[in-house]
Amino acid sequence: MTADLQPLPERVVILLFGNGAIKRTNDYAWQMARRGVRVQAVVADGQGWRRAPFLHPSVEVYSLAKPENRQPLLWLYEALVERAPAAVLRRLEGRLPGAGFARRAHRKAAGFCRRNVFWKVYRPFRHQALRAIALRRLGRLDLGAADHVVCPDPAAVPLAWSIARRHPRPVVTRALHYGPYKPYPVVNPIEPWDPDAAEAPHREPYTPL
Amino acid sequence: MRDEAPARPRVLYLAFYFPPSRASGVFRARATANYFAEAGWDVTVARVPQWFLTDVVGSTDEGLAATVDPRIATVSPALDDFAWETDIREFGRFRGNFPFLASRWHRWRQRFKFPDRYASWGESAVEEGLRLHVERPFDLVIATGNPFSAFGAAYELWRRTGVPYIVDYRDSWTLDLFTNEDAFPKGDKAWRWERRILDNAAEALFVNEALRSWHAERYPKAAERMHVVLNGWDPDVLPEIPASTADESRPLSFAYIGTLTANQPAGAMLDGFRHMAETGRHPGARLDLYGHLGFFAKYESRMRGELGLEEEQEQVHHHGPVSKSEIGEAYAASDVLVFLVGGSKYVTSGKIFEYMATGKPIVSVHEPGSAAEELLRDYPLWFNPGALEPAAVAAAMADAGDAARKADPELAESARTYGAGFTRYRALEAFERRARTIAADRSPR
Repeated sequence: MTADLQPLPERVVILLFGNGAIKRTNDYAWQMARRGVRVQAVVADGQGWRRAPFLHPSVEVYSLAKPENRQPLLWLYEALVERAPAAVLRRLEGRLPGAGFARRAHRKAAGFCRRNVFWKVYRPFRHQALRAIALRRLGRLDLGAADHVVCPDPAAVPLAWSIARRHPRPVVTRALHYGPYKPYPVVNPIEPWDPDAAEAPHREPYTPL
Repeated sequence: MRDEAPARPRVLYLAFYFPPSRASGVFRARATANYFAEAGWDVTVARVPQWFLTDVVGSTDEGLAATVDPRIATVSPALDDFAWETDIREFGRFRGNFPFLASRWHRWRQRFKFPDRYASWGESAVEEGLRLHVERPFDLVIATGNPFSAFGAAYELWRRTGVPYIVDYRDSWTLDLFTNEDAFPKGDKAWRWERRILDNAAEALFVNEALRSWHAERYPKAAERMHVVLNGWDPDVLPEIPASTADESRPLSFAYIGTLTANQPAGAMLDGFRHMAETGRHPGARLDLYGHLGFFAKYESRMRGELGLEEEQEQVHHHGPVSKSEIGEAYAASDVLVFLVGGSKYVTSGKIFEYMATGKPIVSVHEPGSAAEELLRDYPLWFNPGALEPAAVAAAMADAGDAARKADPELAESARTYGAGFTRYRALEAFERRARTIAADRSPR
């Protein structure tokens, strides 16, 4: 059966607003890419993405980091609570007694505020804000011509739902399930992606959207 | 009115997993329904909707469905698909725009029903049961869990109609079989529901004595109504396996036949087998794996990777699922059967009865103290490593291989005779008689 099946000319777009599904996404992307499916991903890697592993090198990744971080209230919070005090204290360090201690104390306090104030307030609105940002910028991906739009991340559901309403063609799903593609032949002998491995292939930086 | 009751007692059997499902407990449900139908009961089975088996579980066994007695009526009460719906186009405006709020709302509503993710099915089963009861009254309700929403539905039907109910614990609810600890924190709703259900049940059935004792200790008020109904093997599924000696000219086949799940110590089996191969005993021996990898199709690739079955291996062969008609061939092609089961003293596994019925050497690969040991102790061709260390498993496998080569006909015959006594129907005989008495004695409400 496998011999009769041609490589897939399909295109899949994966939406990721959080980093919780990256490992599953990498497994899925690898399985799809080696069968000739073009895999693209839209990631909101501006906030809460610091420890996230990279996505598989076969995936074209488009980043929403800049537009997300340019949101006025978010930018203002980071400038006033984190960047400006950190910059002032860094310059004072070595010139003013106690500045080093103050810098460390500020870093801890800023971390506390980020966890307990920033995320508490921002998280409930983030997926809505990102939907608006993404919808303004997704034109270049021509989602109407994609075959699958997958959102393994629940935060990306509002965006996926809006895409489903605007574009009748793609299958819009939450399932990272490559089972139906298993019978197709492997046309790209690429390796699974372990970003922690020393010999891991180079990953191109994500393309700003 | 009771004098005019029809001669055939009527039973509603709440079995979420029922053929064409191929879930682990489905053979017990199938045998119970078939046995009651053959014993003259009018049986109606309430099972899961078909979409759940095809879209969520991802596999069915139509061959198994064909073995269900045609006199059995089947209904499929509705199941809320919130947790399993993946098609975003099917999401409503509220869920599409506010997925977290929708999810929280869904969970909040569930809290007021029954502490089980299949509560909506239980609720629909009550509605369906009441509708059928009005058409023609039931004399008995039997519920098998998991899922335990079936128990909740049976309780609710009793509360509203007075029809006695029996709960059949294929699995445990509040006891974690793999850690032997409580599955729910103190004060959880599940405890209150289990007490309520057991206090009012006409009977509670368990698959082994260890589970019965645990429940009897927890719920002493219901202890005298608790019974053991062992699992067993199904003669219509397992044909007679011809007695055979492992021919010296061919390498031995060590086989596991059944679904491999993440809860089983499959790694210990593979390590033990490889260790035996390294020691040079039974050169060329193969480990043949027959059956699905995981109950859900979506986990298959993950398990394949975890077990190192992605690449072709010289000595380990995964043959894939075996249909009902082929299972006899799989047993006949095997020289030694590897019995793999997760958990410890509360776990028996229905597979062991089928293994024993073949009369072949059996190697245990499970934690010491498994409930299956009680049954295997008197089986003459049992090889117990006593631990999961590769060296111990390898030694037991090698000894079992020796026994397969020698194939003492008397020993094989006594093994087969011992295993033959554990058919499912034999296990159900006494239960059916008690059920008939319960149905006859019920007071109408």
